[in-house]
Amino acid sequence: MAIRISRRKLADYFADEFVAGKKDIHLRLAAYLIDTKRTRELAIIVRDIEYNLAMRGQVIADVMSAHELTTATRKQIEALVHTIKPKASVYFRTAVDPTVIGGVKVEALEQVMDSTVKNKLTMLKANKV
Amino acid sequence: MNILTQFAETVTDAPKGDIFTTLGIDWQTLVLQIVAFLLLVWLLKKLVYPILIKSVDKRQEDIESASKLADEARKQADDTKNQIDKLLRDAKAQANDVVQTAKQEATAAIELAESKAKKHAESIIESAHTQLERDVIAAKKSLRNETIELVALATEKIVKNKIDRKADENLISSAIKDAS
Repeated sequence: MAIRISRRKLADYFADEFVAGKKDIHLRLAAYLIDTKRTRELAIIVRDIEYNLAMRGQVIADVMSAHELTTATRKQIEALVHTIKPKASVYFRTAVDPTVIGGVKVEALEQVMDSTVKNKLTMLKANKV
Repeated sequence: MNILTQFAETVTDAPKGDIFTTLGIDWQTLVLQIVAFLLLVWLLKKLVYPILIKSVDKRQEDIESASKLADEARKQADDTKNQIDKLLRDAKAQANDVVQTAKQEATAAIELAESKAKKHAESIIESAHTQLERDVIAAKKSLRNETIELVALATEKIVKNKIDRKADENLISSAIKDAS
C-alpha cells in the first residue's frame, strides 16, 4: 500500500517532474490517487500542480472562444500573460464554444479576462434594476 | 212737658235775691242728682268700662297682630320676590354662560373637525403623490429592464450571424489590447 503524501508535496513533486520533461506524469498521478483512494482530490491537486508550475514559470492558460485560436491570437494572449508573469512559458488549454458568440475568455495565474460577447450580454442583462 | 211747665212756673214764682232760687235749682235735687251721677260713673267704671276697655284692647291687639303679620307677610313676600328675582337673574346668567360655552365648544369642535379634515385630505394627497411617484419609478424600472432585455436579445441575434472568424480575431485582438 502506498504511503499517503500531502497534497502540497504531491503538487511540488509532479510540477518538478513536468518541468523536468518526464513522460506519463498524468498516468502516475492517476495511479497514485486510485491506489490511495484520493480520486476526489484530483481537481484540487491539478490546480495545485498548475500553481506550482506557474511559480516555476510554466503558466497554463485556459482559453475559451467561439472559433479556433489563430497563431496571432495565441501570441497576443502570451504577451498578455507576460505582462503578469514575464518570461513565463505559456501553455494553452483551449475550448471552442460557439455560444460565446465572439471574443475570448482567458484564465491564468488566478486571474480571468472575459471579453466574450456572451459575457457582455450577460453583464448588460445583469445591469437591470 | 209737665216738668218744663213746672220749671217755668217755679222760675216765675221764685223770690228775687237767691240766684239758685232764681235759676230754679233745688239744692237737694242737685245733690241727689250729683250723687246719682257719681254712682252711675262708679258703676260704669266697675262693671262696664273694664269690659269695654278689655274688648277694645283685645281688638287693638288683634289689629296690631294682624298688622304685624301683614307686615311680616309683606316682608316675606318682598324677600321671596327678591329671591325669585335673584334666582331668575342667576338662571339667566347661567343660561347665558351655558349658551356662550356651547357656542365656544361648537366653534372649537367645528375648527377641530375642519383641521382634522384638512390634515386627512393633505395626507391623502401626499399619499397619492408618493404612490404616483413610486408607480412612475417602478414603470421606469420595468421599461428599462424590458429595454435592456430586448437590446441584449436583439444584439445576440444580430451579432451571432455577423461575427465570422476574421471579425472574431479582430474582436479578441482589441479586447487583449484593452486589457494589456
